[in-house]
Amino acid sequence: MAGRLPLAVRIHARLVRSLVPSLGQEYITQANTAFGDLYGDMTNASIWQRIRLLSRECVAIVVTAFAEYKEQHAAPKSVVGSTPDPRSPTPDSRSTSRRQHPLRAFGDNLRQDFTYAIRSLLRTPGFTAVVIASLALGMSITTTFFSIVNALVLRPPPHVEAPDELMTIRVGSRGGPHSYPDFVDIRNQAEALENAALFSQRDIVLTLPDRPPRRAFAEEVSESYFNVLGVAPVYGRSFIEEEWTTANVTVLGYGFWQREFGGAPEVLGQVILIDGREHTVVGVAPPGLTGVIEPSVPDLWYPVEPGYREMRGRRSYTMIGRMRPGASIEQTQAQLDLIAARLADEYPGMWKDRNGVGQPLTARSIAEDRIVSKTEGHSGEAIAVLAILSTIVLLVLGIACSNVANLLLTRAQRRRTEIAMRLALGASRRRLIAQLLNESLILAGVSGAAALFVVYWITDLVASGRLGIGLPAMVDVTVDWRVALFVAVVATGTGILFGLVPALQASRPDLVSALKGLEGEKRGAFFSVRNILVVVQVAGSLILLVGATLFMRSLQEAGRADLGFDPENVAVISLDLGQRQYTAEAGAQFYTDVVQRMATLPNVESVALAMTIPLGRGRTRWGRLSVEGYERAPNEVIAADGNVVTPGYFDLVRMSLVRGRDFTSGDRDGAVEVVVINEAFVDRYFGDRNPLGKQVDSWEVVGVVRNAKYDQLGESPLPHIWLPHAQNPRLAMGIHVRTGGDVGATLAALVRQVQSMDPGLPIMNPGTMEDLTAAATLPQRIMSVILGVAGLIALGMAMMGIYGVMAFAVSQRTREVGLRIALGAHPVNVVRMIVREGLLLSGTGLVVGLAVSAVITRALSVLLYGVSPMDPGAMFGGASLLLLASVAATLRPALSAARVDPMQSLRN
Amino acid sequence: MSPNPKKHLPLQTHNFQILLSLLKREMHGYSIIKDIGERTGGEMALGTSTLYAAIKRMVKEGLLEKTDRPADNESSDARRLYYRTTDFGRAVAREEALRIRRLDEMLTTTDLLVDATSEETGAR
Repeated sequence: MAGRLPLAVRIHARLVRSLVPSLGQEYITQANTAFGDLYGDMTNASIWQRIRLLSRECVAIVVTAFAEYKEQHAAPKSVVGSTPDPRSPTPDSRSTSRRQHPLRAFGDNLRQDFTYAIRSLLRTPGFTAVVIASLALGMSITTTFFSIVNALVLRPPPHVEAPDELMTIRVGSRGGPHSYPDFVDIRNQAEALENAALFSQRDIVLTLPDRPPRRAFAEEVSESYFNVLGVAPVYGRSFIEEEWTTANVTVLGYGFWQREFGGAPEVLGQVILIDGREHTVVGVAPPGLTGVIEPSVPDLWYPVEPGYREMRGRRSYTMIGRMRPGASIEQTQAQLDLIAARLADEYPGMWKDRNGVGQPLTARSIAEDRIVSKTEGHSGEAIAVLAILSTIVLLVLGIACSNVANLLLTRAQRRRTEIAMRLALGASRRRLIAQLLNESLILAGVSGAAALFVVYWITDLVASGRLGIGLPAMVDVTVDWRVALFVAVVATGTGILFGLVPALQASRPDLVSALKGLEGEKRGAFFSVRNILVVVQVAGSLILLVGATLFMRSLQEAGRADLGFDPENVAVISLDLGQRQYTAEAGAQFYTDVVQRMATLPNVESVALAMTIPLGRGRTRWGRLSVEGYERAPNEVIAADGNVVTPGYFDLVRMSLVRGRDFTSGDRDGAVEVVVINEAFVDRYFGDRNPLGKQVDSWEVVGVVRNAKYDQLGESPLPHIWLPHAQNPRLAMGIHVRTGGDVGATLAALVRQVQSMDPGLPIMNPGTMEDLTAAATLPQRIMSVILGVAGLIALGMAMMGIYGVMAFAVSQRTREVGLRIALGAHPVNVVRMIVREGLLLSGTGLVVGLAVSAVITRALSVLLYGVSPMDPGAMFGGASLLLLASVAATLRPALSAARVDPMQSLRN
Repeated sequence: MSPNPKKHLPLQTHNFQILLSLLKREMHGYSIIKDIGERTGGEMALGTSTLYAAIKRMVKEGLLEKTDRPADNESSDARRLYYRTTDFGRAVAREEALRIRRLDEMLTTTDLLVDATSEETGAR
């Protein structure tokens, strides 16, 4: 039962839940279970049989949704089977009575237009397919982006009762966390609060009965958590205050229950181990219950450990409160100000900073907090990524729309005769516009539906974590009504936008010449709508291409960068012995044993421990250091990132010592405390003085190593320190093994070794150091892929646009071209003329695009490494690619123009 | 809840089929779908949402009821709910069957199906 349900079953579940909610939770669950069984029968069936089953189900769901809807909105009288049966002899009198309705005529018109539009679209399947594909592409990119924003910021947490009454209470101006005792004080003193709760998201080690331990994602919460949210478990119960002292209970997430226990009710009362401590399952939370602020779905919830409830210094929880009816945020804030002052008096060590100023408490609505907590404390990087992504999204949608508008214009021009005929026969212009708009709305609607499916698929892929990209794991990016509404608005908006201009233009033809088929003879002005659209497309695709090239160049540069260490041929795993309640002594012994045993294996060159991996995730900072002989400016704080390592580490990762010595086995507990620093630390705090033998805090400097990259590729050399593990024991360490042979084999040997020593110990992030440090280039890689794909799509659409416009222009000018040839123009000159006109268009687009990219790419500089945002290579590379593409797109129309038979065209 | 079974006639085909399946024994959704599929030679493949929308309505109108899962059933699974036909449901199904029989009798007096029957027999 472990593992995720098949995709088809999940799609089915989502569809039923979102389209037929009136069935009610119980029946929905039953329907899902039944479908799961039916699908389970098909293990040996072909993919087509499965697709058939799923599509049949989808149709059934839609039909049921309509039926349910009709029933809910029908007359109150409803009896099973009373829906008219075709075999029933009872005459159906409803149609006659409805005909008298005044809205009937309007409805008839609409239906007529609708069928007419569909028929005329089906008559040109190629055109329809191209339009739908471009629009669906544009919309699915937009919608995916929106659904991520929706999950992160917009959507209120599901199942939570009256989320408007909830607020977060954070410490300090920068939104810090609370300790449990502080929370109790605040809750007891703030009268505007009806109740309050604490939570903290944690990675835990989970052991289910008869299974190996593994990592899981959980929320550590106060006993009041579910009550404050107003969330009732679907099964069992939530936490009760009386059992709170023992704190050995847990509530499972619905998805987790389904995945791990197959939704079995016997789960209640089972005992599972959370970080090695026994917890009894007492309930199951409703499906899709996420955190209040973070949209990730926890596997389970468990109470704050009793030991932590006394620790005022352990500030690691977020506090939420529910206001009393009638209370306001301002009122609460006023009370919190008083409480903060009281706490500062009582616990100055915790609540006052170095200058004796008390820390404030800040109350915010959770809607606001969801936004603020995502921007605060983040570097410009996150904001840059967001800005770039939204620009890309709008560009692609814009290009898709202009492409489609162009296609529609062309089509409308071709149908001039038909339209003129209808006008001449007395059709009103309004009616014609309505009909043309109808067509574009249908196109947009179908594309929107297609986009929604693509988004289902993409979000599913994202949620499954198979992409392994930046999004925080397990974010619940589901498609809800907000996303559906968004698609509807975008579809209608684009439908009207790209449909209206062509409709207005086409419905105003010069009747006589149109009927004669002559109108196109007029040469279009350069600034015609269609030309402007092409220029926009070319400019937009150039911007995307330049961006993509910039990121690819940046990746190239990053590959060449001097890291200051050598991650090749090093296998790494991370362990946290604290999860298995090792004591400090036992932990030290364990690590010594691992290092000794690994060192004896063949091909292993050296083994060492380090707390963090440079350029990997996570960093540790030592603050408020003092440096011997360095005069601190007032308020200056000396701080440096650092690492805890064992002897031999520097040699293993090839960080070269420039002065002094490496740690040795002599640097142990009780000996002189020592530290190794890097050149940047020396430059910054020692200058020309010899650092060896000097004190940094209580440590004596024994060595200096060359600068390296620690956090980001783009960073300038930062002061860094290393402390010996023997003097600074840690339970969570990474084991590094350098091998002369195959890294994969060494990694496997390392994992086996650790498992043989403690089978219950979870092994985290096994990998090669090369892969782990590659995390540093993750944003560049994601961006170059996204921009590259978007750029290529845009390039394709721009080519289609240019081709369409030129082909159309040529077809409109056969008479002119024929005349030229008849008067002696050489076909080569004709080709040249057409290509020149095409290039004039794309050239204009290129100039506009280059100008705009020059401005926009500046925003990229935060994410670029070793490449200037104005990199001429990227600019001209993108431009020449586009230029080539536009020549290619013009060539065919130009050649067909050169083949015009002068006699034929003049006679027509 | 209507006391008169005839008020529910004519039954929608799939509602009738569901009643027929549940006349035999209590079942859950999956086996109802299977049963109907078998009885109709695969001609009627109910969607799960259609099925449960129908079950929900029929439970509301007293034609079906939920039961505890049968103890004798080995494959019984606590996640699944079982349903059976109520006495009233049985009465409705009976009325529908009678209605269809009357219809059938009516059809034998027309020549509507003469060709079809002869072709069928001819093919055999």
